[in-house]
Amino acid sequence: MITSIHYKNFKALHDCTLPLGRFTLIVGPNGSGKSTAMQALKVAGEPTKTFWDEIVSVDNSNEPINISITNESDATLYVIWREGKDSKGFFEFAENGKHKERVVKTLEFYHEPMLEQLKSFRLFNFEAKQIAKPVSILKSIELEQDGLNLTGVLDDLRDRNYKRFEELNKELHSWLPEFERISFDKPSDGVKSLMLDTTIGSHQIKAEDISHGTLLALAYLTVAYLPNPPKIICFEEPERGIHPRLLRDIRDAMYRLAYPEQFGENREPVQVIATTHSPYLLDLYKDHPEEIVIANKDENGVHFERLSDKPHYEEFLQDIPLGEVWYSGVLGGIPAQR
Amino acid sequence: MKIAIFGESSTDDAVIKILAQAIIGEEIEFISAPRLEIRDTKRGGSANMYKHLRNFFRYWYYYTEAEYLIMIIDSDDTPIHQIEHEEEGKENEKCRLCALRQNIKKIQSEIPPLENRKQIKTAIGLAVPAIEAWFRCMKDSHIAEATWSRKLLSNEQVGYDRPSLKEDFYGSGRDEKTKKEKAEEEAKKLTNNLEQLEELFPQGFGCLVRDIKSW
Repeated sequence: MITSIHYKNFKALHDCTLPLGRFTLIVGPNGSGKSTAMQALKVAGEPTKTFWDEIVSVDNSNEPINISITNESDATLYVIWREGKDSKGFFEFAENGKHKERVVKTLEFYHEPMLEQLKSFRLFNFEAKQIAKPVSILKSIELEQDGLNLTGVLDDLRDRNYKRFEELNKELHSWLPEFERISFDKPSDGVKSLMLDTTIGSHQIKAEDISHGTLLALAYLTVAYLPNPPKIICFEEPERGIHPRLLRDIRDAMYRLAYPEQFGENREPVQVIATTHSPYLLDLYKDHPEEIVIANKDENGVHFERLSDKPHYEEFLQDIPLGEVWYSGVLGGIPAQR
Repeated sequence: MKIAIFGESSTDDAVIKILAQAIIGEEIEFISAPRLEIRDTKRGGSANMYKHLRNFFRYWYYYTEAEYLIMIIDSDDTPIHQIEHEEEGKENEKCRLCALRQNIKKIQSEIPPLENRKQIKTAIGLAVPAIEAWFRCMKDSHIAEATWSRKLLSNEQVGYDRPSLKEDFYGSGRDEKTKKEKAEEEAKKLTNNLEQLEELFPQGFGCLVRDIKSW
């Protein structure tokens, strides 16, 4: 598990550290570096695909970029871009705090667990319209960042792991009792699309007629039930389009990924990072301040702070929902003073 | 002097800054960031206010160097503060100024103290029935605590109420920035007439002045 990421000169992240746990919810104003921090993970997994000048901080445009990723064994992977227009990134590695003990500049290093984890990183920023789109039967079974190919992923799950598909249907019905199960349609040759069967009347509702919120909820649920999910997943603003009362289920879907043993799952935990602007979603984490990271942006740049590391934080969480406390401004992570 | 402020809106906060500067005279450092806001209720009067104020107070105490706190709230239709309320045991729990004082007292007694950190001193004003009354009274001295008191006690038709005060002052505009600029402009004019304001609002504004002068 990655325990922290230090960013140096990466876009808006000039010099800051993001603390991480198995599950981390980042809260902060627009432009506070939440999405950039996630993007850095994607870039770090494939550093040779990105040039220094594409990602360097505007304010420090003559400096190298360094993304330092540390795991629970205190090993650190450095992903570095030296200054120069055509400079690609490369890896350096340190164990037990000893810097650059082993220098690896090629992708042969991929056997390292941390790099494997990085390589499998997936960012999801679902859009209902994309989720609803029919897909080619021959298309890959990978779920796209925006939710495209959800149909293919669900169809594949049904074919390869029917038991799990049925568990997903059961959970879907528990979230949205008006729907009984997922079914599939072939609107034309070589194309498939998903449908939802209603509980009353067994009507089949086509994807384009399903509400956006339902499609988004189905996407989160599907990721939670993937038999072999990515090792790190980031969800951008999972509250978008979702009724506040359904947020508890969305939270639990993310928890199913991060804490599989608590859900009777027999697989490795997924490290989950989510971003939010929703006080309602934040309310659900009052008992786990160690899972909340507050992103702030001030004259010194972006910085991240774990709520449980904030002095006296317990004093603020006694009478008011966490989301309300955050919104009030006393914990930071709010838009700058106008 | 390092002063935190707490009004019912960012517009009220801006007005408090101007009035505080005029009353105190010397240089003030206002505790600016962050912009403290409440989502679920207006700041004044509600039962939730205590909970929020408690957190805000902790914020100023733990995370800032605030030495003083100035608060102004609208009375709306609640009782106007009276000089008798100042006597021990004669506080009126329906009077927002009394309620705020009680709340502050309780908050201060509950806060786990930090070493080398002095308790924050407070000053509270009660705008009767709203802060816009202070702006309008310079043009219409009929707008005063005494007038509003008659409305509350004998239901006299006094020709204004809270919504009409706001509408007369801001017009139909909803834009917060314009409202704030207008309120700031009027507050600056008020600073030349603080004695008259205290005469017309002897308890609501008078208390604020007396609290500040007692520091």
